[in-house]
Amino acid sequence: MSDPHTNPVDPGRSPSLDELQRDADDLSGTILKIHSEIREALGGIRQMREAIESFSAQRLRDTQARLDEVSSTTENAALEILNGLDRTLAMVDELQVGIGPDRRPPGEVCDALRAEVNHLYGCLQFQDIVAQQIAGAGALLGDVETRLVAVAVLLDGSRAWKGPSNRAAPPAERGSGAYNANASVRDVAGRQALIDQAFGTARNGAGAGAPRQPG
Amino acid sequence: MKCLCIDDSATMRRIVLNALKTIGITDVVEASDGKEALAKCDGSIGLVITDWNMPVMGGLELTKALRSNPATARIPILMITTRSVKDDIMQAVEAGVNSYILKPFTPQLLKEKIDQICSAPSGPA
Repeated sequence: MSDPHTNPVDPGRSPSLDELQRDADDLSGTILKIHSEIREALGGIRQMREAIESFSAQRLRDTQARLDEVSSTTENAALEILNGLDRTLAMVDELQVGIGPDRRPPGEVCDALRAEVNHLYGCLQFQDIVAQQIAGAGALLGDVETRLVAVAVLLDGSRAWKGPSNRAAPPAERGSGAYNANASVRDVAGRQALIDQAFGTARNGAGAGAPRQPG
Repeated sequence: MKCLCIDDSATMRRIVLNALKTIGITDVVEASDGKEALAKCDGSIGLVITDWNMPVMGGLELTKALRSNPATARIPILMITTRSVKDDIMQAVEAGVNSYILKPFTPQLLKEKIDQICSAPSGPA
């Protein structure tokens, strides 16, 4: 018995109409099966894309917002420091010119100079705040990276994930307790006033129930 | 008064030290996290100034540890941090923090808070 599927037709012989019909039917079935599998895969990819979009887009927006704040914090601090340096130089000039009818006494200028330098010290606090903001942004990006790698592994299981990329571990990876992702220099005076109020209320509310409270 | 200053940022420690010097406090011991602070916190410390967010041991855990030890339970604790959410304040109060300053701060505010907690009539518990 000859089987046209396992025994190819004699190259010298043209396939019969029945054979061609059978082959066409087989091909059609195979194409339908492939089409259905592709549709299924596309559906899965679409769902995955939507999941990635909703997860990543928000985090990337948050990252962008934090980096914007880093930028403005840095710029404001730099401007404040530059202004302070200008005032400092002006006072050095004042000291150099010496005493005159409309000049401040040198002791007064020195005090003002000292206050200005101390103010410049204070301005440098931006470094700590920016470091925490960047750690927060790094943590968000690390989150997105982990999610994208997981998706990549799903799409190509043969490529096992070997951990995060070779970047140096940012502070974010040293533990989220080591930074405050919401660190900000905005409205410090207003927030300090609210803190004082909340702190006072909380301490009064805690009263004797709070262990080892002062007062 | 001897002060123990704890912050994982070397920059912040220098800034706090400068602010303390400005207001007349020059006897300062430094630590970069709560665990190191606990090791350095002996009977000579009269004031603890700590950050909240630090690796190894944060300021909140440090406060709880200090308050749970009779030898250190009465030391005034001032927290200098970027955390300003109400829940944070509650946690700090419950842990036993005496006063709370938001970064960035000024030496004047630091002096005001130190004066407040160190001159409290009954002192820390």
